[in-house]
Amino acid sequence: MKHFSGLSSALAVSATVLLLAGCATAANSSAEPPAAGGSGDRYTQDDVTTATGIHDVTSVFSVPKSLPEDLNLAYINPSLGTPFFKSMSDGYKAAAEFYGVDIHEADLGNFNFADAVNKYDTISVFQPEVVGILTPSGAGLVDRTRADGVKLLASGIPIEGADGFIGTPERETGMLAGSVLAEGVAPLVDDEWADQEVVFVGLGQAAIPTTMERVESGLEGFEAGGVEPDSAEFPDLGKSATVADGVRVMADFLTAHPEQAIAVVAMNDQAGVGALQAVQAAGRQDDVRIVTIGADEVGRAAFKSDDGIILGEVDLNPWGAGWRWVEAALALALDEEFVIPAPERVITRDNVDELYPED
Amino acid sequence: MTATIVAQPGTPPASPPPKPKADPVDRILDVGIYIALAALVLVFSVASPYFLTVGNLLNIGQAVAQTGILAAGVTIALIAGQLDISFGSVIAITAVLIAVLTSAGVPVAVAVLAAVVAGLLVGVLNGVLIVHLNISSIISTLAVGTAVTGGAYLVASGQVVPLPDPTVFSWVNARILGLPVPMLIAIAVYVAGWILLSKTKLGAHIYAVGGNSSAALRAGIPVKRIYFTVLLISSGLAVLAGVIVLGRTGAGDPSYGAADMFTVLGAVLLSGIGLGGGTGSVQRTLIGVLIIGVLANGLVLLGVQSYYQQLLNGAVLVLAVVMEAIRRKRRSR
Repeated sequence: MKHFSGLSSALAVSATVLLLAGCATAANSSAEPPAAGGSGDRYTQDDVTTATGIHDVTSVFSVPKSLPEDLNLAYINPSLGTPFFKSMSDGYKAAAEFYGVDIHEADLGNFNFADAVNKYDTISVFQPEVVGILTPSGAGLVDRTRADGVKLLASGIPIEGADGFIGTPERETGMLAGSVLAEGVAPLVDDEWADQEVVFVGLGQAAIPTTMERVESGLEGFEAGGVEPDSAEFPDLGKSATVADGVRVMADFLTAHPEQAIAVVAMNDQAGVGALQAVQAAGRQDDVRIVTIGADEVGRAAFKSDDGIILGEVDLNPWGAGWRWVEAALALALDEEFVIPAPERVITRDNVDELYPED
Repeated sequence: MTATIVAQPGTPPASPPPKPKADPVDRILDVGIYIALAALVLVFSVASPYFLTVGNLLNIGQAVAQTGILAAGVTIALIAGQLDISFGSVIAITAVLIAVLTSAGVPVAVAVLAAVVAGLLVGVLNGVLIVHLNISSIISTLAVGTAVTGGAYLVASGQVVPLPDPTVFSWVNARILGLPVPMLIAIAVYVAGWILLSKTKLGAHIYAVGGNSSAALRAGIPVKRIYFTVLLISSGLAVLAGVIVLGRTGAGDPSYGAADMFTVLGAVLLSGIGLGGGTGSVQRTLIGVLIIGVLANGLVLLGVQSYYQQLLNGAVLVLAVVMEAIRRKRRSR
């Protein structure tokens, strides 16, 4: 038995040894993006384009080539187990390396937002100039960062009282997704779907208003694209919006709507892929078309392999979102301004191999 | 975990069963978690210049306070033989109720009172199912917890509800004599828990009931009342943890508490308490809480990818369960 007791401590010790997008900050929306070329004391768009390769990041701030020493950043990632946020993590680490700053990372696990302040406390020992987070409940973090004199750059979801916000302009993103959906569905409405009711479905998370704004704008874009659905519904994906959530919600929806034709805007790739799986399991391929938002690895893989149910993916470029967060954070640290263009790139069958050749 | 109580009137009262004398191997098993904690502290101190700073140690104290408070309640219930896993839902309903009610203009004191009542009702409901309907505590508290979490989502309409005036709970983020308030609360809880379990008649009864409920009943111990008491203590401490989370985040979120299951049960099991009841102490649970807290903190400081953190946390839990299995096997000889 002594062996096991020793083992317990030995394992603990040895294990630890071994494991040694559209709108800008509230105040920063008027700045110009970096110039395309030239040289000098700041990085240009050409520099960023070269550095980011296939990720093709549009820079949001022309970062000075000489930055203050010891400038470091921190990002509290909501879920490194989610492909979108893993890609984002890779992006902000690549940007930090490119610009020569340190970035410290903490993970909330599976969107454990209750732990955000504790995670901040942990990484605050590095005394970062700017800390970033995506959370729907950031009031406590605002107080904590303010007390430390650290700037809080909210990411994805605005936080009241934060020093800045960088994220996807939800309305434009949703509108774009809706218009892509309308473009693909319009011919069907005149043909195969002519005798069916058409239902618009927006898959979002009721608890996170920005996701609902995204999919509700999808309906707006869908209608603006010339397709008037007979009805629109917005079933709740729940807390985490995973593939499993997409399967569950869509399977129930298909059961409740056995005769209808269904046009779906999914708030992210996971929900869209889940919806796709539910459609395939139900044998309803002829009745459903989907547009997803995000274009992470999971979404792109499903898009490349499915048989035409997913019409396209609005490319939020998660890797690029991470890169841009670093640029925005550096702007905030230097009391300068940054901008972000709205997403305008849509992945289609015609361009997916060109845009993501390494998939 | 089932509260099968067979009364045999006329049996003379008995004092709580004496603790068996530990042999050297059991002693080593017992000190294993202390060695593990010391080793982790040593490793992280060497590996990161930030770890052994006062600021970081206080951060750890603050971060583990919530887990610690919950784990103390679970420990007390488990010593009595009842595994309460509804604590996460109590955190959620507490935070959400206070946020929703204060947003509706209800005075803070009334909102807090409502949350306390709701939390204690969870304990009462658990007690009714376990004691009167003889349902396993795991099943009862899982079912009640699931329903209460659903209730929290309903109350919050599935939304995160910001506090209208977060400064009301700013005391949660304050420091007294340089020490974070949640940490001080946790210390108070553990001192109270230690006194309760080791210095009071109720504590002796809790051990006796957990060790052998039938014998305890024959000895005249009010077993049912003990069960209700420990479940209420567990729920009450979860309410306290819920208030702390609310103060820390400034918002009520029905998903709060869902992620605490692993850390709390991990800390409790790491203490070697086992699931059988009748043994354990809050002091040992505190060590389990600290091990998990130090691990979480140190791995972030070292920049270890979170996947490895999860792997290590799981490994620690497996280790704890294995140690308990060995201990149980030795006792049964």
